[in-house]
Amino acid sequence: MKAPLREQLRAQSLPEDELSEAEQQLLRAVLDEEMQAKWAQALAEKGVHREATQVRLRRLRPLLAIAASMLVLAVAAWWLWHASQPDAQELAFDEIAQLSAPIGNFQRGKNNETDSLRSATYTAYARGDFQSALNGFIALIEKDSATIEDYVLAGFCALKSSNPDLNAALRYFLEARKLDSGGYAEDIRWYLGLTYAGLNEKEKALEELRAEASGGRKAEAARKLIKALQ
Amino acid sequence: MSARPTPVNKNFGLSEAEFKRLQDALKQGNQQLFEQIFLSHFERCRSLLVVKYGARQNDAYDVVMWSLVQFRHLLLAGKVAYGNLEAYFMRIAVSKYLRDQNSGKEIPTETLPEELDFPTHYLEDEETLAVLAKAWSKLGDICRKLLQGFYYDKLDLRSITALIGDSSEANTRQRKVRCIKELRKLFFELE
Repeated sequence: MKAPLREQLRAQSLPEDELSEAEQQLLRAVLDEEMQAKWAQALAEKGVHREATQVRLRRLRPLLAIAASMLVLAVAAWWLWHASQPDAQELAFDEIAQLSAPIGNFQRGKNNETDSLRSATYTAYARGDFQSALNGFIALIEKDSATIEDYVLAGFCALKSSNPDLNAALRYFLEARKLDSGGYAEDIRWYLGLTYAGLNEKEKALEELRAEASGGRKAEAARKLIKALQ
Repeated sequence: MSARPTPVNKNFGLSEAEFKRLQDALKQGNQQLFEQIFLSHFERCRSLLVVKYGARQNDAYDVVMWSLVQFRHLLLAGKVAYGNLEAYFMRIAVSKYLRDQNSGKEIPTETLPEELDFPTHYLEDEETLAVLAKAWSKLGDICRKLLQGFYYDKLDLRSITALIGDSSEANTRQRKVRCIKELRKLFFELE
């Protein structure tokens, strides 16, 4: 087997003052490489590269395609996740729609059917005519003879009437809370939670719903709403 | 109507006097002018190979780069005459490209520039070349300039003495012996 050129040269008696023909060829090749590297750098500084920009871009194309696919997937995943998250306001309106009229067990205080206006109002309320009932409660409030039950039910009717008025409901529930000595606290909390959520007042809604979620009768529904609000 | 090509635009924009100045500069070890002129035409020459011969961008780049190195050697050896430098240069590049593309096949001899007769039969041992490149990089700056002047740029002794700032040509001659010894020492002792 032929020895490498370096070994052949080592074994030779080389002239002291000149490079041999083989050494000169090798040196020339090394310097050619060095010069090409230097010129390549000078060309690169002028924007001339071994591979044209298009070629380099073409080479990057698979990576760009992967990156684009990942971006599309991420956007799609985000959209699906977002679409799957219930909207807090919608959820609150669903809950309001499902609220059943608090008849009988709701009226925990004294008997309110002491006068004709109140009687007519409660009759309308009992038959589900929430708009007429609301008008009756408003009349009682204006006459300054409304009780806490009247305020709670006024708020309820404002939510359930054919033309819901959440701001009015909020006012009635807050007034009821002022008058409440504890008997309606849980109902008022849940209604306020729903009303605030319906008005998209997130912080206030969360405050009411968190209290309800920790042991209230509507704890599960409250937790759902909290999740949607966060 | 296109203008008839003038000698200047057939010669990389060089007049005959400028071409002579370029050759003189190269012979004195100054290749700044060469680089300035030929690197500015690099992309155009590459494009010609790509467009006319269907070369790939990187192949064309390698070929033009190789041709520039050869062209420089030819200029230094005084084998290039002013007249149609561009055509001559492209002939070198196209021949090289066709030879690379048809390696192993028979190429008509008229396509190869007869001047490219630099010997290359010792260059197949890549390991030896790599060791020499390493040894060369470890050699001192003065010795590198001196040996490059002698064996690569083909400068005369007086130009090399001036290039390395030696006091006399006799000193440069002695220094050359020491530099060769140093290069061989590095070359043979490297692992």
